Amino acid sequence: MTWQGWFLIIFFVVAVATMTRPLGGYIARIVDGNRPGPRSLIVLESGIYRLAGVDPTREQSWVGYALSLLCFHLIGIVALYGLQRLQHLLPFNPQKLAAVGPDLALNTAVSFATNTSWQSYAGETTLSYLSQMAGITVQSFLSGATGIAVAIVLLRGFARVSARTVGNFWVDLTRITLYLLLPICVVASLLLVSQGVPQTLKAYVEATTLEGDRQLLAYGPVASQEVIKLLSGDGGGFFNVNSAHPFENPTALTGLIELLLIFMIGAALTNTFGRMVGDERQGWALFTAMAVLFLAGVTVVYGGEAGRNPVFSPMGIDQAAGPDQAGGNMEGKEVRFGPAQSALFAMVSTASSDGAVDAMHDSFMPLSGAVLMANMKIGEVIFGGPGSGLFGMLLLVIVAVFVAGLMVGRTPEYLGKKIEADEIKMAMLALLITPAVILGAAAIAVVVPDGLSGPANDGPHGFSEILYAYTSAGATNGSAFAGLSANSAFYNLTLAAAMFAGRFLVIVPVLCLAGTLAAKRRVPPSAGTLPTHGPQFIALLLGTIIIFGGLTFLPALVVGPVAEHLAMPR
Amino acid sequence: MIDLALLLLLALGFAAAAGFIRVCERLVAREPAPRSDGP
Repeated sequence: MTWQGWFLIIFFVVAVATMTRPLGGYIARIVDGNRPGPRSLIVLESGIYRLAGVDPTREQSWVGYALSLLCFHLIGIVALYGLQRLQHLLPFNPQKLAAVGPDLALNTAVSFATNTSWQSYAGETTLSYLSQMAGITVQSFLSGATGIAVAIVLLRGFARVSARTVGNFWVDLTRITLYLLLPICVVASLLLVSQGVPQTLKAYVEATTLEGDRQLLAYGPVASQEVIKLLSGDGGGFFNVNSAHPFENPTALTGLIELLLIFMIGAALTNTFGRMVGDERQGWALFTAMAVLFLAGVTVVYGGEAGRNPVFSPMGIDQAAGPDQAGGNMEGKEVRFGPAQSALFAMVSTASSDGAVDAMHDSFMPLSGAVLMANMKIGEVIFGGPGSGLFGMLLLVIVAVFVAGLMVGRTPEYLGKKIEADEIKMAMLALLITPAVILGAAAIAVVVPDGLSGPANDGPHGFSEILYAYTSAGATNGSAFAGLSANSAFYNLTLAAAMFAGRFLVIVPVLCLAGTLAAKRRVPPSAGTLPTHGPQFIALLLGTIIIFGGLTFLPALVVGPVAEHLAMPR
Repeated sequence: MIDLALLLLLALGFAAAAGFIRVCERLVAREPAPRSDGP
């Protein structure tokens, strides 16, 4: 490890912390009914409501909110499916790419509508510009806005008293897209363009290489897709190698911007939470718990990748850091990024639900891979994707206060709301669906021939490749371990089912939980109330997360990355 | 034909998700009123 590597990591954490309060306050204003945008956006917002026949003043119960959300995404998936199946007949297809196959089209449509962005395809050889722009990019906006909206509904559940409604899905979706996602995307896209990220509708160009060969250089409307892929927690790249491609991530500055884009909304929502419940310290407590988990994880991953890979040592490969090289385990990494930036990006991408990559996770050391999987398995609660990280963390908070209540023999309460059987039922349902999906689907894949034909490796590493794929899908992350041939009917359909269940079957109990919380009265704090903003509660929460994750996933991790680690030469 | 089959599968998935709303609704509706506030 080098001081430059640690400087990058610490600088990044400080930058995220600095952005949290102002952006958190801005989001709170947006979802509170204020209109912080320019007049043109306000007119556009009103026009959208008129066109869609939405009464913005009419709120919905949690059931109405959930049904609206499901109907909206059903239409989105069908639209994206149709776009891919008909892209050969539609404009903006200068490379004359063929229609996407049915199982791959369904996988991709579900993937982007669920904010997963698992990609069983290579973007530059599969999707037309229209499919990328009107399909992938649009779904990135809408699925990201949906995640934030669900988190906001849960925050309203804590903030409201004796309320029967939790908000209006159409209003939340519109406002978050118009006032939060779009403005950041416009500014950040222009920044990326200034750094050399392409934004064009021209056909790919043919270039002559230094050896005199002909090479087709793929490009297109990259910048506009790049920003929302990171900001929305989607992560689906324009190019197959994602953010390792020099057209997606050309400079050190774009690398930093991309990292910040992934974490900024997830971190800011902790402050929005604090503001909405009237005590910013509550938000900072969650931020601190997330930061502790993040720093612990990045230390393991950076330490693993900056050290020597014992498999390479007998080959005489120089892995020492020096003036000419960053050193460390460089297999699957961009030379210009090195182990520090690659480890940081991998941590950020799997701690959040983003799933973008700038290095191949399949080539990380086994314990680094275990940390990346653990990030996703605990629900991507370390800052998390937009919205999904916060509501995942709040589910674990509810379990933590419940455990604390059991320990002292008192009805648990959080922010003045009593946590009773209804809340625990919904929290546990939401928390257990993802592990059931991940472990169930991976168990099927490791015993059927179609599943076993996917991984490129045998033994524990092959198991890790399968486990990672279903973890990524079930947790709606979308990053790939690589090494798995996932573009088959079996993997396309089972991964689509995992993404669908991991998203919508989790959102439903979260919305139900919000509904039950909103309907409750607030209990005034007393001498027996557990303070939830101090170090004691943060430690309790961290313990709950580690025990919950360990009990659920440790056996599977032992069969994969841990066994591989123990089998490595010393 | 395969398109129709896949879209039907998708519709079934959403129907199951909508049914899950009802399951959650019943789960919270069955719970009796809060009992004791504890010590």
